[in-house]
Amino acid sequence: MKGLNLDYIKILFAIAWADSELQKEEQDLLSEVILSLEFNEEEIRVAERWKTKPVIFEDIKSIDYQQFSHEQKMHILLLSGSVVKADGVVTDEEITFVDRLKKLLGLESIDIEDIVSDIEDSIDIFG
Amino acid sequence: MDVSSLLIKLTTTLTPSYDKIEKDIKVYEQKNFGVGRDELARSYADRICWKFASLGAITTLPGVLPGIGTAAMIATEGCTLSGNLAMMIRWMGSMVAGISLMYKRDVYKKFNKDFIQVLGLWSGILVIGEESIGQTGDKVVINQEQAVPPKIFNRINQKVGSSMIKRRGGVAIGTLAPFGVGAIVGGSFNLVTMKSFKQNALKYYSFDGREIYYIKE
Repeated sequence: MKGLNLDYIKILFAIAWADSELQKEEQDLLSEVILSLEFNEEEIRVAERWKTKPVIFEDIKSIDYQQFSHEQKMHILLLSGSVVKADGVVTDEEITFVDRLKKLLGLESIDIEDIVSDIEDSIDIFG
Repeated sequence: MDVSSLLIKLTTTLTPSYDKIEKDIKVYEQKNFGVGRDELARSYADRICWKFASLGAITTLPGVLPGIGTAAMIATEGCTLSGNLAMMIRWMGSMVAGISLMYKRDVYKKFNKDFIQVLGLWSGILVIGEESIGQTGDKVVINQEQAVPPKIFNRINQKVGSSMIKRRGGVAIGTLAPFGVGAIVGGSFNLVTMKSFKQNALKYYSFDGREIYYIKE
């Protein structure tokens, strides 16, 4: 499935690791996502390693973000914003993480509120 | 309410807003001028998948709960279905309607039939094309007016049910865990479900609509 590749999974892991720990629920879910995708054994092995070896921002810098659609980029940004706010405290490091990710995604001028508003418009059309 | 009645209720009550989708497609086609029909249908369906994934993530965020659409609300109340199920069926229906419009099919007359058949392909009870070679199951021709064999409805119901159990599980995890985790959970379940549905919707419309389907044994 286009866009659902190891790069995407790696970004999900980086987001999940943004607060420096990967919670059990995150691990379980990411395992399920990995299994539901059609990865080969080697890809699964690579992805499984990210459950114990933190994926840091530097690791996702070299990904080709042009491969993702605008909607996928918005989704990634939405998840990153949600995760860094998870514990109710947003640290300077987390703000920096999201800002740097925005730059990589080419979405510097987009905020989570913009994404929510876009989805609300879509609910009017599709839901 | 039996399974057949429930699905008929769903597909009729949750009939997408063709006009709104048609307008949305026009804008999308203008933005992607020159792109071929197959690629355009694929990317449009993919766009719905990612938006539905984001919706799944958003609904786990405290204080950010977009209202669900009116039709979905009616179905939820009328059939006592969960909001999640109604939303999933509604967005799936919108995807089918969107692809149908892109392929210039008569969505107004054929939506119910098309939608049931795509649900049948997605749930694995119906097969078409090369996959039907060697199938010994019954041939199926679904018309708008004809009753759909209960066997098909039952399998669709199982598939929808299992998806929702997974989704519910995800939400439960998200509720217990910090909401950032819930966003990944909710978003990913929606994404995986809708991506798999998309493949079948595109496969369905790659045929000309006159094919004979087989019930998989």
